[in-house]
Amino acid sequence: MTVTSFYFLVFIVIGAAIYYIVPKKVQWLILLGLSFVFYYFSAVPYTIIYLLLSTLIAYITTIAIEKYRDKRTNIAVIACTAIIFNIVIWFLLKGNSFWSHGVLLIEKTFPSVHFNMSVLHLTAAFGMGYYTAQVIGYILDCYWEISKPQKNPFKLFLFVCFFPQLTVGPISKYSQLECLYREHRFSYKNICFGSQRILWGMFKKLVVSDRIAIITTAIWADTISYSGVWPWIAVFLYPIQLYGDFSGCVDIILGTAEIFDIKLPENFNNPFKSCSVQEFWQRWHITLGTWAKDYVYYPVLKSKYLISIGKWSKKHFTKRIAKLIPWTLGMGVLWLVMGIWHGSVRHIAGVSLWYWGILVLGEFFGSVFKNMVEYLNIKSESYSWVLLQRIRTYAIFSAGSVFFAAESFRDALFRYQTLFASIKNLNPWTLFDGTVIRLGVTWGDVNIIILGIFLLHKIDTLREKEGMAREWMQKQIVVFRWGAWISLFFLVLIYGLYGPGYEASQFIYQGF
Amino acid sequence: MVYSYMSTDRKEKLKKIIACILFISIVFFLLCKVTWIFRGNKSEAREDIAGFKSQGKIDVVLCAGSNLLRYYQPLEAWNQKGYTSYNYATSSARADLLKEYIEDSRTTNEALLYVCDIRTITDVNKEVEEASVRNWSDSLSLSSVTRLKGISSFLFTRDYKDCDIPSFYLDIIKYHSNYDSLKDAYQWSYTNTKNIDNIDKGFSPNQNHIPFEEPISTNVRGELSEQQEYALDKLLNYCEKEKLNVLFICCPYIAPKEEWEILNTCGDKIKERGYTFINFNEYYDEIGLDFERDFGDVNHVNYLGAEKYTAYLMNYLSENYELPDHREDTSYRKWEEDYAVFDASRRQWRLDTTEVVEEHLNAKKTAETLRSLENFDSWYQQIQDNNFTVIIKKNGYLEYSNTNDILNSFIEKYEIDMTQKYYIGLWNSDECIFSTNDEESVEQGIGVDGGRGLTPCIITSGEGSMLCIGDTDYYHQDADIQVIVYDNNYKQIIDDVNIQIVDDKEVHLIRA
Repeated sequence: MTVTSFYFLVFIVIGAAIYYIVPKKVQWLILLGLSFVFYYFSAVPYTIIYLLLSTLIAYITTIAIEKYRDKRTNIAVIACTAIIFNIVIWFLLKGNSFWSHGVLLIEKTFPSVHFNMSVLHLTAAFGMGYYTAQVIGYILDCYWEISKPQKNPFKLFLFVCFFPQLTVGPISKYSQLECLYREHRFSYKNICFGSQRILWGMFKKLVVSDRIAIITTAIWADTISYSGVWPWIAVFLYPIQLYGDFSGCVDIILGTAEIFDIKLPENFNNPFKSCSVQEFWQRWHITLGTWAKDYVYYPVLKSKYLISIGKWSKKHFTKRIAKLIPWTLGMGVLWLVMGIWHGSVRHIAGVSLWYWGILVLGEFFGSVFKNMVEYLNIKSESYSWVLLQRIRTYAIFSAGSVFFAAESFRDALFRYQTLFASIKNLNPWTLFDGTVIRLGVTWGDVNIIILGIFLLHKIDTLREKEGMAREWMQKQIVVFRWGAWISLFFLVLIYGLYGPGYEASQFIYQGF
Repeated sequence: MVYSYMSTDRKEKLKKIIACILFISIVFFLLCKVTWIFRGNKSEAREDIAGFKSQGKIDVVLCAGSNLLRYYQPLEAWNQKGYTSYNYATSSARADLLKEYIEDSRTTNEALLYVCDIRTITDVNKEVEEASVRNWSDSLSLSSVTRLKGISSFLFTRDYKDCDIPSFYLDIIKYHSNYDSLKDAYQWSYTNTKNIDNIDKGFSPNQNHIPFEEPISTNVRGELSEQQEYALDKLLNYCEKEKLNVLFICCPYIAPKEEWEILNTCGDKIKERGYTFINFNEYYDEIGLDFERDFGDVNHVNYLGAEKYTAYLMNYLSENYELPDHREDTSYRKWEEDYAVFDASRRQWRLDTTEVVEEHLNAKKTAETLRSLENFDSWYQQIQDNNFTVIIKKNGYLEYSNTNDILNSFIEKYEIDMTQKYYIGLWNSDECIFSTNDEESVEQGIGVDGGRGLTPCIITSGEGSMLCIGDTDYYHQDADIQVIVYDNNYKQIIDDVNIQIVDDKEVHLIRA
C-alpha cells in the first residue's frame, strides 16, 4: 500500500472515523493499530521485528539512563552502546552498499579470502533510515535530559512506527511527537486542511514529478539519441522531479497526520528560493539537517578533540582561519553522516563531498566574493542579483544531484562524462523539432509540466509569505476556493500518472 | 424558525455540515460527468445500456449477452406484432449478472415480461474476465447502486486477487489517460445520458458466415458447479421475490455436449420453481435454421439466422403472453420512425450476409472440383480464391530456366527463389502470411477462427522436413514443389499436389 494508492485513502477514511469515534484515552492505541496495519500492507511484515528491537533497546536504555543517572554508573556507555547497536542493525540491513564494496575490496586485496554474501542479504525494515534516526535522537535527548523517558513501551513503539512518517519521514524529535499520546478532538478544519494537503501532494507527485521522470529516464536511457542539450535538460529537470516526488510525499504524510490532529515538523520551505547552498539545506530536507546538526554537528563541535584542535589552530593561524578549521572538520563529519544515511558510496560523493566542498570553498573564499561584489558595484539587494544567486544555487544542487539520480557510482561518472562531452555538440534546435515527443511524452504533457512548475512556485511563495497557503485560500470567496480545489482534484484525477497501465513509481526517498 | 433559536456555535456547525455535503455532492456530480467523457463510448454496450432509459415504456425486456444482441431484433417484433421490446444486453455478459441487469432496467421501466437467456451460465467460472462486467458497469452512471452491487457480486465470487478492484468501481482510474476523448464531441454527449438514444433497441448483427454441422442433442443432465448453481439461484430467488413474469430461454448455437447437459439441468431447476424454460437448441427445425448458412461463428447466428430466430421468438411471445399492440398508438410514433431507419439497415445486412454466404458456398463448389483438375493453368486460377490458404513447400534444387509463362507467374506471385534449395510459403490469395527461401521452420494457425480455433500448421524445411496440418504430416519426400490447398471456412484440405517440372518447361500436377 503506497501513500498514493486508492487503498491508502480508504485506509485514512476508515482509520480517522474509528479514531474520532473511540474514547479519547485510547486514541493512541488506534494509531498504533493503524500503524501495524499500514506496516503489514506496505512492507515485508516480519521486518517489523527490527522496529520492535530498536524500540526495546531504546526503552531499556532510556529507563536505565534515568535510573542510573545519579549513581556512579557511566550512563554515557549505556547510551553509546544502544546507539551503536542501532547503527549496526541499520548498517547490516540498509548499508549493504558499503559492506558489499568493502567485501569486494578485501577480496581483491586478498584473493584467498572469500565471503558468503548471501548470508547477509536480509530484508531491511520499512523506513529504517527514518526511524533509526528518531530512535538515536530519542536516546540522546533522554541522555541530555531534554526529554523524559517514555515509561510505556507501547507508546514508545508508536513514536517509532507512527504510520505516515515511515514512508519518507519527516524525522521527528520525541518532543515533537508527544502529541501522539494526547487526546484529540474532531476538527473540521483539520480534516479539510489535511485532505487539501494530501491532494496537493498527489498533484506534485503524480502529475508533475512522475511526468518529468518519463523525460529524465528516457534521456539517460539513450544518451546517443538524446545528446547535446538533452543530458543537460535531464540534469536541470531532476531537482524539480526530486522535489515534486519527495515534498509531494511529505505533503501527503503531513496531511494525513493533520487529519489525525497530529502536527509533524515541516521538511521543506521553498528550497529553490535559496541564495546559497547553506540556505538551501536549511530549506531542503529540514528534519534531516536539524537532526544531523543537533545529534552530530554540535556534539562533534563540543567534543574535546575539536576544542583542542581549535586551540591549536588559534596558536598557529590567523583568527579567521583558526575559526574555520574546527568548523570545517565539524561540517565534514556532519556531511559524512548525511551521505552515509542515504546509504551508498555515490551518495557520499554526491551529498557529503559535494556539499562539504562547496560550503568550505564558500567560507574560505567568501570574503573574496564579497569584495568582488563591492568592487564591481553590484547592488546585492537587487532582484536580478538575488535571482542570479538562486540560479547558481539551483545549478549547484542540480550538478550534485547527478550522483543522486544515477544508479551507481560508475553510472554517475558516466553521466558527468556525457555532460562534458555534450558541450561540444550542443543541438538547441532539437528542442523545437519534436524530439521531446520521442521521449515518451506529448506536447500536452510538456504543457502540464510547465503549469505544474508554475503552480509549485506560486504555492511555495504563497506559503512562505502567508505561513500556510491553505490559510490564504480559506480567506478567498467560496466560488474561487471551491473552484480551485475541485480543479486541482480533477487535475490529479485526469492527469495523474496512476492506475492500470502505469507502473506505480516508488518515492525516491522511500528507499532510505 | 429552528435556525433562529440556535446558538452561534451550532449555526456555525450546521453551516459547515451543509457546506461539506454540498461540496462533496458537487465533486461527485462532476465526477460522474467527467467519468463518462473518458469511457470508450463508441462501444455498442454503451449505447445499448445507456440508451435503454430514454426508450419510454418497454413491454418485454430481454436480458443477456451477445447471445441476445446478435439474435433478436426488437424492431422487427414491433413491426410484426406491435409490442415494444428491448435487448438489455452486453457482449461477454455472464449469467450471474442477469439479476442486476433486470434490477437496473426496473429503475426506469417495469416490463410486462422479462426474457432471460441463460446460455452464458456455462461460462460462469472463477476467472475474472474484465469485459464480462465492464461492458455493463462502465455503461452506467457512477451513482447507480445496482452497478455497485453488480460489480461486487461479480468480483467477490471470483478469483479477484490480481484485479485492480478500485478501477471497477471508479472506472476513471482505468480510463483517465484516454486524453483523446476530450476532443471528441461524441464522448462529451454522454455527460447527458438522457439524450442517448438507441435506434436498434439493442440489436447488432453478425454479418460473418461459418458453416457448421448440426450439434447432436442430449438428454443427459450435467452437474452444475457451485458458482453456476449460485448464479442460477440468485436469479431465480430475485424473480420469485419480486414476483416477476419471466421466461427463461437459451438461444440456438453450436452447443457442445457438456454445455448442453448443463443447460438441461438448469432447465429442470427453472421448471421446479414454476417458470418456463425453452432451450431453442431443441427447435432447430421449427426455427428453420440451416447450419450451413445461418451462423456467423460458433457462438452466434449471422443476420440470416437472426431473422429466423426473431420470427420464431416473437411469434412464441405473442402467442403465449398477453402483449399489447401499440402500432396504432400515436405516442409510439418514435418506434415507427426508428423502424424506418432500422428497415433500411436490415435490408443491407441481409444483402451483405447473403453475399458472404454465397461466396463461401461458391468456394466450396470450387473446392469440390479442384482435385479433378489436371491442367496447371486452370488449377492455378482456382487456388487463388481468398477462401483458401495455399501452403507451398519446396525441398531441393530444381532445374528450370523460366520457359513456362504460367509457372513463371506462379513463381513470381509466391516469391519462390528457384536458385535456392528451400522455400516455405503460406498465402491467402494475394496476402502473404509467411514466406521464406531459407532453411527454416514455421508454426502458424490457418483457417477462419469463428470460435473454433485456428488449425495449427507446422512446416520445416531441410533436415527433419515436415508439413503438418492439424495432427497429420502431409509431407511428400519426393515432391519437387508440394502445394496443399486448405479451405478456410470448411477447415479441410481440398487438394495436395506435387508440381513436377518436366523437360525444363512442362508442368505436371501429381496427386498421391
